[in-house]
Amino acid sequence: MSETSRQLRDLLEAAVGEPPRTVTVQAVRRRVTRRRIIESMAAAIVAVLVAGLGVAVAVRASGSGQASGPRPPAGVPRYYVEQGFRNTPPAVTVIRATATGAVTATVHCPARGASILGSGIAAASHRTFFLVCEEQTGPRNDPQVTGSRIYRFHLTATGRIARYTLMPGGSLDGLSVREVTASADGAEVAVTTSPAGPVNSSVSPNIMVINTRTGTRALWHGSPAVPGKMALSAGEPSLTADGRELVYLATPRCIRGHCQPTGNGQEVRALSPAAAGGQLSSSRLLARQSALVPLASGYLDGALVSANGSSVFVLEMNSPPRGGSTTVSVVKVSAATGRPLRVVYRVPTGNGFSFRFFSADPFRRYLLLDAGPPSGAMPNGWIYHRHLLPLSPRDGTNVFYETW
Amino acid sequence: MDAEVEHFAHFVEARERALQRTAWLLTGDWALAEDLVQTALARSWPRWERIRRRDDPELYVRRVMVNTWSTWSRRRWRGERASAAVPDSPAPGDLAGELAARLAVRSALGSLTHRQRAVLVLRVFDDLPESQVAQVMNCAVGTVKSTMARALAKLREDPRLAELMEQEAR
Repeated sequence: MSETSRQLRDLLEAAVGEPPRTVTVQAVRRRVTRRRIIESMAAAIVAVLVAGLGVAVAVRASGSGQASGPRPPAGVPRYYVEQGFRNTPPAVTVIRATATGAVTATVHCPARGASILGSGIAAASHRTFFLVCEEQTGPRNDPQVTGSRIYRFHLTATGRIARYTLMPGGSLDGLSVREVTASADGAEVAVTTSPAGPVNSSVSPNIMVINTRTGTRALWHGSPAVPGKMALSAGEPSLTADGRELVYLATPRCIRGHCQPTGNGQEVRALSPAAAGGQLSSSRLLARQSALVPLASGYLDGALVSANGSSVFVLEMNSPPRGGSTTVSVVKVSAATGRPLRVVYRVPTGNGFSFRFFSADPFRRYLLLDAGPPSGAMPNGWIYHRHLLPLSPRDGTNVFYETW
Repeated sequence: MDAEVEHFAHFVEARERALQRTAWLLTGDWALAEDLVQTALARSWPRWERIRRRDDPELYVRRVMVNTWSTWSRRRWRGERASAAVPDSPAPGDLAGELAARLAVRSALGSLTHRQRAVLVLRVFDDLPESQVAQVMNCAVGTVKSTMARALAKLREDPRLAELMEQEAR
């Protein structure tokens, strides 16, 4: 040790002096006991907190405690919109978690006095939704629609509604919207429209395609009403993922007077490019009803174009004339040939059927269906490998519409 | 088990004052020093059976002590505790001189980093060989040497300490 170190040591010795108290074994052992108690208490507190957190998460996830079965596969939308019947209180539109059925938010129209259109919600990717609100006047039991507004809202990761914004081009004064659809990228929204006011059966609906960024509108005019002649009425519009093509279900309708049936049945038709506008009669025929179900006993109740436009998912109802069971089928139809490619889902419903809605996610990977026997519970769920996995509520009798 | 308890009791009885003195040089406060020693012993006790089999249990306790003090030093809140008794007891002789020396040493040690302070106390005051200091500090012997050199260089810059060391030399 150097001299400096020796001097320093002496100095430290002198500075330290003697400890004023003695550390005893008893004091150390008391401290050991105290440490053990504190450690076990801390462990207990942590365990309680973890258990509490787990319960809170479980309760939060399960909402009212309803569980709709096992966890859905990866890729399935985490939330869906469920719209109840308007005349069945409480007539509410809610967001539900797919996994648990828990309600995470309630959808409402931002403007006072407006109400959500039945089936008036369309889904785009990234948990974006478009909401159609009807502005009404007159008595509550017989309101008259004066115009429509289309709003956009996003869902947060926890299924809450971030905020509503009026979509550019979404103020449709004097128009009543019947149906709405959106492209997966959310750039285009298409609505079937008719003039606001009392329902006029002599008017065929138009299809309006709106660019959601610029508000630019393109109108596809319906067939003019000719008394005594069958006209094709456009409904069930759906857009491809990029919004370039619009597919709709054209149903022959006698608009006025007595019409001679044409015998052609319903048609699945396409408008391309969707944003061009023009006459609906200029649309391209994709598939005929007669190629899918017998005209005498079958009916098409829905059509959804696939994301890339190569096929169409068609919902068929077929009731054999000689007492066989009615079947409800979702069939994938080639857009090129109009022929069925495969049956996606089929269920016998007995003597007749009940139907509420047929919809899908923005990329048409997961199809939602609420259809079943004419009486009793109506299965509400989504199609997965030819099976219907239930959604909450399992009985879809009081569900008007769902989308995700 | 009884042998273990007995060994631990003997160790505490024999070494607690030396440990407290080292702890005072680390903390600069008797209450904290006592707390540090108790904590180090309490942490060592559950493993005493293994510790006593070693050649030098004290080295292990010192290591726990230095680590504990290092942890306390890193805390924003130092866990200050009220003490029932006044830690400094009256002393005979040159009280003012002793107090001045103590304050100077404490101030000089306070200017060092925690690592420098620990190395200096272990090497100079506890007179541990560099290899054992390295063991306690969990570092290489070369690191002990360089840290020690830096600590001494820093202390030499302290005029009050330099003056005290000159007086000590005379």
